[in-house]
Amino acid sequence: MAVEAAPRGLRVTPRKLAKYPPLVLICIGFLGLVLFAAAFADLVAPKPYTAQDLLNRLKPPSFLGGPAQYLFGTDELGRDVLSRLLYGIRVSVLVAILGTVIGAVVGTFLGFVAAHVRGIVEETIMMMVDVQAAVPFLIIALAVLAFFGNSLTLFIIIMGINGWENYARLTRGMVLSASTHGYAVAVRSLGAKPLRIYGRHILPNIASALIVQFTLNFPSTILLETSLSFLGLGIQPPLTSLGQMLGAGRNHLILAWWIAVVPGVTIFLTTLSISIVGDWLRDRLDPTLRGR
Amino acid sequence: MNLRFVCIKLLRALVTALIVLTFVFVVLRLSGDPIESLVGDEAPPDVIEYYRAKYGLDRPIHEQYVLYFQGIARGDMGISFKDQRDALEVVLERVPNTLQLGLVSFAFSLLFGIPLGILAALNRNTALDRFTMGFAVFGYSIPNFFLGIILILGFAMWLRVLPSSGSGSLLHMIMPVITLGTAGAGSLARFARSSMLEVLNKSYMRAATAKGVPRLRRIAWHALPNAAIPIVTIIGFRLGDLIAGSVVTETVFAWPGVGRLLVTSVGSRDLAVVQAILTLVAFTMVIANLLVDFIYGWVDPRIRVSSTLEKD
Amino acid sequence: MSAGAQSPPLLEVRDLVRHFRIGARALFRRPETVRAVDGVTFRLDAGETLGLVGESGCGKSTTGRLVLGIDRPTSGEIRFDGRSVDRLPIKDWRRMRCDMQMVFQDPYGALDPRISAARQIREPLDIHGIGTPEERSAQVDDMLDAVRLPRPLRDRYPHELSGGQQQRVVIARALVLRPKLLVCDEPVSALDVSVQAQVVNLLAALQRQFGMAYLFISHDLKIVRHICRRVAVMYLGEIVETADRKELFDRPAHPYTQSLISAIPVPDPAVSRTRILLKGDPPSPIRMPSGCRFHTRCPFAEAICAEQKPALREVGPRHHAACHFAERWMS
Repeated sequence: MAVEAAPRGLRVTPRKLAKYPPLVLICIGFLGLVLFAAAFADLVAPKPYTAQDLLNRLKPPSFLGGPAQYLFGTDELGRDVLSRLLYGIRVSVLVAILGTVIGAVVGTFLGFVAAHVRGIVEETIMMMVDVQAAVPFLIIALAVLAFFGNSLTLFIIIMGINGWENYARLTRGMVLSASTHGYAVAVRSLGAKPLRIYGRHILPNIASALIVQFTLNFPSTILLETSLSFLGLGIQPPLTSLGQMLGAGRNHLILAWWIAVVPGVTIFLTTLSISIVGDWLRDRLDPTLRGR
Repeated sequence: MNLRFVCIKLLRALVTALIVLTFVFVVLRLSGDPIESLVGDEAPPDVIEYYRAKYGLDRPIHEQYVLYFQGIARGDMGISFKDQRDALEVVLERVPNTLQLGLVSFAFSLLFGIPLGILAALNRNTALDRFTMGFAVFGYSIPNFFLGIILILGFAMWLRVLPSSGSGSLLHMIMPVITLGTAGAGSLARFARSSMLEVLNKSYMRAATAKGVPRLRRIAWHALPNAAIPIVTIIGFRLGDLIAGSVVTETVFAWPGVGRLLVTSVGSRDLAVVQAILTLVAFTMVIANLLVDFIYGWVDPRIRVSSTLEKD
Repeated sequence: MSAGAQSPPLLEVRDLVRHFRIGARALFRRPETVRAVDGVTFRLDAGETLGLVGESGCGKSTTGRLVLGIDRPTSGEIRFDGRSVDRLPIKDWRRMRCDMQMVFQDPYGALDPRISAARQIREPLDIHGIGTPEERSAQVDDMLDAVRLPRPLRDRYPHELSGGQQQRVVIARALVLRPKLLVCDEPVSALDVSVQAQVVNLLAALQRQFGMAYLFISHDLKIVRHICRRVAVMYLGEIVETADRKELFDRPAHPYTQSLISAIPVPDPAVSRTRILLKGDPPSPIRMPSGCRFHTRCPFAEAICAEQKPALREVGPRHHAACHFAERWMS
């Protein structure tokens, strides 16, 4: 069992793994799989996702009696569900990551600005936070899509706006409380400039709370995209996303339920895994945070 | 709850509503000829002229802004070009359906979620606790459209015990309510549990035990009221999720409510209806948040006091 | 006046005032003013140790922050090394940090929980770009020795250190720039009593070693007696008495000082003490008593005390007090 080559800290020993709850490990494993699928969809997919096989339309998955080459069956145009699933994962995951990162960066930045500049700027930013929190974002997103039409850029911007207010509110609160007490005052009295105080001292100390917020926000962004795509107002064909597959599959529920169920289960397991990992992370990083 | 508290909250609510409505105004103006958006290009020319004059599109923008708000106050938000009827009327017709679904789902969330959470808290770290919390995580993680489809598959198509769409009877409501209410039940359960746990750990609970207060009374009199305070705020948050959830749920089950109307209107670019729905939702949310703030202020004496001791 | 007073003082504070307005941003409420510091004047020479004593809320901590320029005065003048502190542009203020530093009441709160002790001590050198990296490391080691912190502890995180050790890190960090003035704001109040003595002794030793001036802020007279050559007593935002240490303890000229001194426990049960007990609670710093601010609690107050405010006047060699009857107490 001795693995001499790797340095002590990096060895993945059974003892080390045992420190993590098995459920969390399974979820991390699943998420790893999802990321792999997103990254390598075109290498792994058995068929191109637009390839139609009209003789084999609406065939069930191979493990339920369908043709052997279609693991998850085919849809109404004979396209391989597995391949479409992989490409759909790629689109959904990419859009969600992009959106969440944009939201996190913009939100955190605005939170810092609000806490640092104070005054009317802070009031304005917090007012925007209130407004964003007041109306359900799905409605706003639908309205914007209605008024401006649906372009991919606009869609990603909308994903980015989802949830920024949580980061802003969180960051501002933490920076304010850090600024009035403790080490922030101490380092300032040492003569440090604000950038150094924020970047080297405050940010690392609030990072864990931000990471937790990220794990709360990411599933919500995925769900936003999939909901909009499901309603036909999100990712448009020929691009495919998980929500879109579900939406399209809805019309064939009786004859070919797998078209909808396969992407649906994938979405569900993904958000579930992120929630579980997020909970565990929150418990680990700060046991004083209350579970929401 | 003092006057100052009430006034501040009212002011904030007003400003929020103002900003949302301004947002709608700006977006409407930015996205092309607003008259065409509001009335549709198939409307007869005299109707177009009438609206052009009424909204004063040749007037400077700040006058348009004022006219816009006057229109809202009157309840005039344009014409649904699909039906050629007043947009607000079209929307208000559907409201009872949505209210019906929403209220029942909300009750479902409360009745299932909170007792489950409290039960879990009282039986902490037992199998019951783990099971109920697992259920709760399941509940709020599953995308509502997926849950709806699974339910339709199961109960409507395979078992054939429930109708798959439409409204009209109690049977029609079962699946939509479960779909819309499950996420809420799940998150309420989790929150109720953690809130209850926090309260149970407080020293006044141990003091009550030391005094010899029987368990049931301890829970009902001491624990529950204090645990209720944060739960009340969460209930306020739930409303927004409920509205968003009803958009999808109504679409899945073809329930004739405002949510489904929103989706179809967006699809057909019936912008007057979209604007009317947005306005309605904005008002509803603002008023609901205000009510939650007031209830919160009334229920939790600490909030009343601390808000009057604002720091320099 | 002694010969040393001829040279310009290191720190000169004149008519320092700091008022806080509370409730100013609230609707329907008239803002009220807290007179935290209400006309404080003193001077500190290089290498001198001045204690600033008073009960909680008397304004001593605020004075400390104002002296360093961390807070802005409402009015008054603060001159350090001949330069004005309160009207300094921010860049110059930052550079001035090399000359004046602070030791805080809560040592754990003053340290970044994610940075090791050695790196915290190094931080001021990094900020001001002093020396090469090797030189900075050497400086850090020197400071660790100076504050009697064993070398193995240098890589520990704050939560892995005891309260006393944490405070030593704070002190080391403050001194690594070799400041001319060290403001200590209740540096031992948060520590266990057994550790207090160690840290106080350390501060005294460091003062002798590095020769910097101290402004030592505390509510505890017995600690101040140990470390400070001169003492100033504050009450409700004003200085009510200043004197050299021996003079103050032998012949206190203000009733408040007397009550503080009488409260110091004497480790000899045979010695009887008459404790001077003050009546009532300290008044709110919003609504000040008329005349002498202390008259509401003074056991010796007379009619004139409520009408006329006593000025801080000279009552002995290097001894000032603000009481109408100072001479009475001193005999």
